[in-house]
Amino acid sequence: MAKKADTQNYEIDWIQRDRKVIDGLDHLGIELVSVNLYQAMLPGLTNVTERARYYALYPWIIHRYAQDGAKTRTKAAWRNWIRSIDFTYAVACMAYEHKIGKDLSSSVVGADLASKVVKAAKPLQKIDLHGPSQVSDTGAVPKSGVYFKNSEGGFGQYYRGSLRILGAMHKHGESTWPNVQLSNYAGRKIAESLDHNKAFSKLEDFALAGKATLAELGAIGESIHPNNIERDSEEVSILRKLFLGQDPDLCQGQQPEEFKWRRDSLLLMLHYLREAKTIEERPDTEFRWACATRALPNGKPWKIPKLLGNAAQVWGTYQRNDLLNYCLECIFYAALKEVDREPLRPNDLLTTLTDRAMAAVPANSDYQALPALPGKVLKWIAATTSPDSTSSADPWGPRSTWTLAQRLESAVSDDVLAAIPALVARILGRLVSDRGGAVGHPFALLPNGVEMAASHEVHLRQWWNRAQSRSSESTTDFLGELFLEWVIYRHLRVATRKLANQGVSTYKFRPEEGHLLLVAERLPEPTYTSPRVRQGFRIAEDLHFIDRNDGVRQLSKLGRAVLEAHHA
Amino acid sequence: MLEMVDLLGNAGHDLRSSIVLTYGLDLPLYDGLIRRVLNRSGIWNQMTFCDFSSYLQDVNSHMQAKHAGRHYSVTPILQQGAFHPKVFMLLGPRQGRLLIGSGNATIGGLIRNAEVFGLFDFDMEKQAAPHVAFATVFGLVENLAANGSDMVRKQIKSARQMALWLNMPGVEDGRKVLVSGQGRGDLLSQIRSCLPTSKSDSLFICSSSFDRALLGMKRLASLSKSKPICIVQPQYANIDGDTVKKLGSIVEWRPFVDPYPKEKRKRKDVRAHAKIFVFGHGKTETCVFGSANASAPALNSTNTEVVVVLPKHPKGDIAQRLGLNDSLRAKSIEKDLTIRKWESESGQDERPESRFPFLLSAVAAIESEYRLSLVSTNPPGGGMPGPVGPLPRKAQDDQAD
Repeated sequence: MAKKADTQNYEIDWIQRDRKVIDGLDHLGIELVSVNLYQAMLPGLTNVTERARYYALYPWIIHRYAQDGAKTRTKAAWRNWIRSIDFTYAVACMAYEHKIGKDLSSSVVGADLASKVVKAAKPLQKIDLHGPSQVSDTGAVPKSGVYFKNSEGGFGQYYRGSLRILGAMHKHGESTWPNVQLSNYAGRKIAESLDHNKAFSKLEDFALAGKATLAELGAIGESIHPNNIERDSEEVSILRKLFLGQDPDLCQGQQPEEFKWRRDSLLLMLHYLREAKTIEERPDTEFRWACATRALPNGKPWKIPKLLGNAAQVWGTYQRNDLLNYCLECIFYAALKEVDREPLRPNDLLTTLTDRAMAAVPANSDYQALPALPGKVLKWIAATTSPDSTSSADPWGPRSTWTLAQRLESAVSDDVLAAIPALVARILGRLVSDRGGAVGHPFALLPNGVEMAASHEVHLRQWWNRAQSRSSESTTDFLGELFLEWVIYRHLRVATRKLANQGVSTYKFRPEEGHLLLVAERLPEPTYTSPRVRQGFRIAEDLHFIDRNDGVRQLSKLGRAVLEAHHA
Repeated sequence: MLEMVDLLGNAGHDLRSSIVLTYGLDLPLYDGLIRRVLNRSGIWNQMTFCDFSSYLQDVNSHMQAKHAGRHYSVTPILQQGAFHPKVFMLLGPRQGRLLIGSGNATIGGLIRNAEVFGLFDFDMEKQAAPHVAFATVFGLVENLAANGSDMVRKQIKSARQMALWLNMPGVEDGRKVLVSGQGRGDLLSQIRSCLPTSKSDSLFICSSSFDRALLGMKRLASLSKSKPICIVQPQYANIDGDTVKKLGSIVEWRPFVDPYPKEKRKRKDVRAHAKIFVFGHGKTETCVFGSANASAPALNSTNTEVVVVLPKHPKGDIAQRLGLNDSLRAKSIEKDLTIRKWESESGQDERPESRFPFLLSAVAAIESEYRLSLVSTNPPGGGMPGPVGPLPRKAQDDQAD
């Protein structure tokens, strides 16, 4: 007879099945190449660094702390300092917008709470500027009622990394706060440029006092608002040189390759605006397609000066690579829609997707009919080749890549599921034949671009290789394998990796007894990555290279002068 | 609740070997997650055994499992019935962990479905001897390996050598582990022998799968004096409405009411996959759970199954503990079930191996070569089934990670 064990074990229980389920991003794990490309093209700008003025404001706050801050440099003292000025800045900007009765969409850090405070304030009432900004004695941010969660406000959340890339500050090895130090050649110069502005002195006074009236804040708000950097100020002059890498002394903290690509990208944007005359809506979308097609909105070729040729080439490659990603995400979306209808065996799902990809696409009121795809890969690629010799010959016409992409976006937004794989197949074919003049490796122009791509499985170069090496195969089989490897199983692998490494579950579908079951509560719609082009245009506007009236952007006289100075 | 990934990866023990017995094996999941968490626990001697038919269902996905045959072995079990156990056993020099339940080594089985498991832990620092369950399951594994590849036999041998405590006489704590399958006793008879009386006063059942004629249900019903209640997830259980009609008043059918918090119940993919039989006797009850559904192949030992029989609990305790009272009190769904049609794969043999003249049953990296195991009466070239090899070194190079 066996002895009795003295274990305390789980006799029976349910498994835990809500293991950190999150929506997640980039469900195919393919966007990183595009992200690397745009990061390399606009170093020092991010998707959340919207305004040029913050590149001066934060160094100035650090500089003022050195002059006027608490003698004991504790974490809490520093955080209270930066947060109180950061919040006072937000309230002053919102007070100014309130005064002029306009929402300027100013991307001010903490604008949500600042707006509420301003709207609730009575004319002579002193607004409390410390309550929403102060931290505890240990430096911790209270859980509620604060203007911003990051302990160092917008500096810690958004601008710190960018200011380091621009050489305005660097980390110091000491244990005092803040843990960064302004560089003498750039950071201090930008900071001191604001010392001459009386409105900023008042900003500091109000922040230190912890209170000010709406009228007082509105009065300084006009000068300090990010829309109103003075056209001829020292501040703007330094910022222009810093972003365009124009002054070797000022830019000594920047990597030469980095400021070269940033300068060329910004100049390319200005050049495009000059040639296009105006941009009314989405400058980022317009610019990336213009780089891919080398064409202007009127369909005429965009003649790009030699100096900016490489930048245009890389941005065009970025757009092609991103279009490839978008196509794969569209297939993922179409697959999720099918699995949402009923659980499917992978092979049955592939049959549906490839049948649709191969089929003819009927005409509708907006678009032409497209014939069925040929049975062999080689013929399919040939059939989807642009009928014009170059992509810029008919860049926006009914048979252009741009039109196919627009049509695909419409099919996704209107849930025309049968059309999604069909349009994807035609765009993918086009991406093989129209390489935008790239010779050799598409990422070769960027330093370490080839090495960067080598560590990724899905990108433009891999797509070209895949299509070329299997040109004699059946199109149906080829597309089926592509969808299986680069979409269906890739998602499972990427989600498994996230579960293993980060402990989060991002599965959108999963295998169960030979079928794929939908897991997602919300289906992720396909997206393009968001390069920093919109931010680039906005910063160029802040620096007065671009004028904007009633939403229409035009190159300013200063912008033209800068282009001419660079022989562009 | 049992956090399966943590239980496998953060045992807090010094562990070296793992043995996974599963019907469905999601190889990309094993490769990307389970292998890694086991590795993080120090487990380098990893073995998996799964059902052959299930293994073939999505054979294309196997190319995603780059470490299969190199960092762990995969042995698909080809047998007349299904190889259906769900067991995770971790072994080290002084410690061991054993999880037996209803969840396969799949995403559903480990993190999404409504599955139940039981846990056996052994630690030489705290306990004089391991639970007999360890030896029972290890015995099953040794039997399986007897027909497997040399490599897997070596792995098993190595696992035993590294966990010498497996040789100690086991102890019990009131729980029993039953194993069924070819050459073993009928599972239902084994269960009956653990019950205090030949007929229970009451019976409730959770099952996700049934045989078409509901013979398994009939056999279970014969063990109860009163009408058993069967909890199913009607939208997903494959069940023949005509047979449900014929069974009539023998069984009460109730819907699975997810005991999970309300906000998490909406998940569309959750499958009620637990297999639980609770027999009531006066003021006590006996719970049996594990891999066996209320189906004929599960209960008559056509399938290989592993279940746990718990010691007596106060009547109603298991339903209370698992939150199944809402299911038990729910309205009958018999009417809904009677209109269901039995879904079978038409036009082909249900076992996918019938499509192939011979089958690759295992790949294992042995030193500088790969060994392949084939199963069929007609292997290529007229050779005998079983391990073949060696292959040229290039085969390994082609599969470099």
